[in-house]
Amino acid sequence: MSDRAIEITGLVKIFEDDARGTVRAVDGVDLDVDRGEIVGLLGVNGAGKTTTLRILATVLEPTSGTARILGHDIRKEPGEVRRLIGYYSSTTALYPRLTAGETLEFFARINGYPSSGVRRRVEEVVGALDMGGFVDTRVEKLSQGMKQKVSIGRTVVHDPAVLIFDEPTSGLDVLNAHEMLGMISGFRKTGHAVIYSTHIMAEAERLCDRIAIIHSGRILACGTPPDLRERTGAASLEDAFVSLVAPGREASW
Amino acid sequence: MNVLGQEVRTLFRFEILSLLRDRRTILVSIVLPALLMPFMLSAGRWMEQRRHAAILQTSYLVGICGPEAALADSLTRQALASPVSGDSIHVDICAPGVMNLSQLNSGLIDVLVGVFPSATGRQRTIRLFFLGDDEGASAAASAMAGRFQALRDSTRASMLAATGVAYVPDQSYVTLDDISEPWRRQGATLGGFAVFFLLIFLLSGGAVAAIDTIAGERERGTLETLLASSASRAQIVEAKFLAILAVSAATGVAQLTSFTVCTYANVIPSAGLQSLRLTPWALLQALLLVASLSALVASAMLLVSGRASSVKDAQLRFFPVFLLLLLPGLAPAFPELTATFPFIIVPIGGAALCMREVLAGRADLMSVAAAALSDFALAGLLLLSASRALAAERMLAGMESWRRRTSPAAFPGAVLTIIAVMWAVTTIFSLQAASVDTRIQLAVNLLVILLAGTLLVRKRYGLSWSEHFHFVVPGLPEAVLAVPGAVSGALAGIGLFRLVSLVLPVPQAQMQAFADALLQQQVPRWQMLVFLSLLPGFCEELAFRGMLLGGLLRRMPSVLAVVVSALIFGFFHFSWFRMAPTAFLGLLLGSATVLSGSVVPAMIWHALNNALVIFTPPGIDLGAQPPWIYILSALVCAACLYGMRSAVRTRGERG
Repeated sequence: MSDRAIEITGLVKIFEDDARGTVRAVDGVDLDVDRGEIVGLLGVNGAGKTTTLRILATVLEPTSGTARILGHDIRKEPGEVRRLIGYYSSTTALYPRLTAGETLEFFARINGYPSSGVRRRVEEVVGALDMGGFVDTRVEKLSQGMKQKVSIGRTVVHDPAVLIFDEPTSGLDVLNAHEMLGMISGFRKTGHAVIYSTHIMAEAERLCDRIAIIHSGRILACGTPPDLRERTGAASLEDAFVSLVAPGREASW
Repeated sequence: MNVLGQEVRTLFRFEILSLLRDRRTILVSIVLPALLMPFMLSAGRWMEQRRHAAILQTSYLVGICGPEAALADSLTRQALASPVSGDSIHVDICAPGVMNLSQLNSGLIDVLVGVFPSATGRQRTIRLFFLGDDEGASAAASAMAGRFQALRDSTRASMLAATGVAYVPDQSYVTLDDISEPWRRQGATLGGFAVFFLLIFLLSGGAVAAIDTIAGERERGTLETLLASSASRAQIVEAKFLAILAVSAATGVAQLTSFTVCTYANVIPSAGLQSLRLTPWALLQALLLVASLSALVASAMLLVSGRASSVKDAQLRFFPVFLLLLLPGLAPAFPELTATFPFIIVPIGGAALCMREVLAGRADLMSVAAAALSDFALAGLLLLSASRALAAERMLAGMESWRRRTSPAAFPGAVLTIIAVMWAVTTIFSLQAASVDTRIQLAVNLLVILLAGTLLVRKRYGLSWSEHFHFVVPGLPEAVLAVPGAVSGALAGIGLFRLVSLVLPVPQAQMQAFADALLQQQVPRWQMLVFLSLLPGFCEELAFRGMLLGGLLRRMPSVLAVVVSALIFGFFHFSWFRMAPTAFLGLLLGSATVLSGSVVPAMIWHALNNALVIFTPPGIDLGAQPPWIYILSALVCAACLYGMRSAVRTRGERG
């Protein structure tokens, strides 16, 4: 069986906007992610990271091109694709009036997890993410760190093979961000394919096996952090990023 | 519930759980309305009783005025001395002396009585002056009028008795005998406003849930989470629809229970619920109507919530939708509207009319079914629309800035709405301007509504004449073929009209009225050519084959686009007997546009088609030709269209 979990081919997304006219938010993205691999999408705000991940999550439809998740086309089999992915975004939220446990049960069921095994699976996730202390507490009463665990829990509760994280540390304090990165890193060992977007260099360098630098909807370069540094002759990932995204504006200090 | 999939059941269960845990939802949508309605009704009755008691407890003053004050004073005192039965208003006469209107206006007295000569001068008239905006004074004046009348009757009786004639008080020789059963009368009365109140219950109950269910989710950021789950858009809409329906139904039941309990407990005035008689069959019909109305209201609210970008936006959108939904519920108040075709197929209005018939025990099953079906059908369409709105890209979190309402790419999605607005404006104008000169009507319809509307749309969406409207110079063969195409097409259309007339005969009077309005004898020929041939040829083609067909071709296959545009073209010609031939002409013109790649041949075709009908010599009756003429014409017409297609292909191959 192929290890390829995500195959993105010629992905294009065009928005029509009154003020800006036609905008190519994603402009021919090609990218692959294998099982057990964490690939980062690194780019500035408005580079096309979120749009790309929303298309992968079938929340948006591509204008052209496509992507396959474990062989399933996102355009032709969106239902099947959604069953195979776990999508976490900084803009997504939880239902405030459900408890942590009910939230996990809800997402397990609507994502098609077999009914008979839902309770056992919820217990597994609660144990794995150390949520026992607040499993029966309503989400609206949880702290930021607890909510974050519930969010991760609802992303993985139906046991998806592919995980999509869109700027998951956005808005988190240092400790919560650290804990979040630790949890995401753990998915490499469990054989999940992870695609992860961020604009924080250090985060990407520390977490990702490969990094794709995206700008104006295009992938400018893709490789391991040492590869990218070597290819651009830069001393750090940040310099490599600037030399690719804004040539001539590298730091002179 | 087993017919629903696991996803829908889960979504519904958690939706309801979430709603029930929101105390505000329960309080505002179920508890408050259930308490408020009886409270308002009983408070109204209490206030009415208090007002009546206050009138009875007050002593009102009568003053005397006019040229015969002494007589007025005497008559007033006599009238006050002999109160009539049922009159318990206390009235006193004020101190002797002639008074005037200024004292009435200043509130010193409540009623002014004067005796004046009548218009003929042979009799006298007692006039009572009072201020109608004072409820007590009105009641006192009314009581005094009754007493004067009673006094007049008794005086007349005494006078006649003195002459030996027995006086028989006024009798009614006309009697009204209502032979309908009381429960039917009560049913008809209740049924007149039952749907209106049901709509208020459903809307008040469902609105809070509806706002929370999509607009609230969008604002909280949970909608994107949901859209990325395995549940399809349709399943999400289905579950949310059921949740709103459940809350609406719960509110309706709570309201009805509260209303019934309060009626039986005599807290509120009886609305006659006790006297209603519903057979099981009538009850089933009533339930069918309630179910269809509930489905329609729930789907409308879901759509509003789905189209709103935030809770506040949803609240702003709900008010006009409330009015729009409540308005047809008042249909039974209009005596000219009956539970018959076509009124019964008007969503909500039809159900309201049928509900009155059901409660009065005279419902017709077919009408009830048709009314319910129209509500269910509209509910289905609204749900489809809600499903699309749910995933509208510009509505997703963080994407509000991506507006595409007026770009060329947005035009195909908006073209049907645009044409619907044009149709509505045309309809309203035609109804309002029925008595206006036909030339003015045509000029407004063609130049203002269709042409100016089309130009406005072109400017607003930034559309191109050639790309979007097919308004390009055609090849010579296509332009030339439009001439025989128009002649043969017109004859084929007339043949079709004859065929349709066999199934749906056209009333002769209607035909004559239409012909008279169009072909006015006094209109000069050149004006007929302009108004009935050239202007329609240009303006209608630019609007229907240019804008409408151009937009439809971008969202559906060519054949379907031509058919849809032709049907809409038919609907613009209001008389139903004109719809089929006009839609047929629309088919030919649409085909000519698609096959030639230009709207100009259709313009030539359309203008010639109309000119042929107008300028045919009186001796030739185009509608009375042998059938083979029509069949041959249809073949020639098809050949012309084929010729257009071939000409374009040949040029394409050469080029």
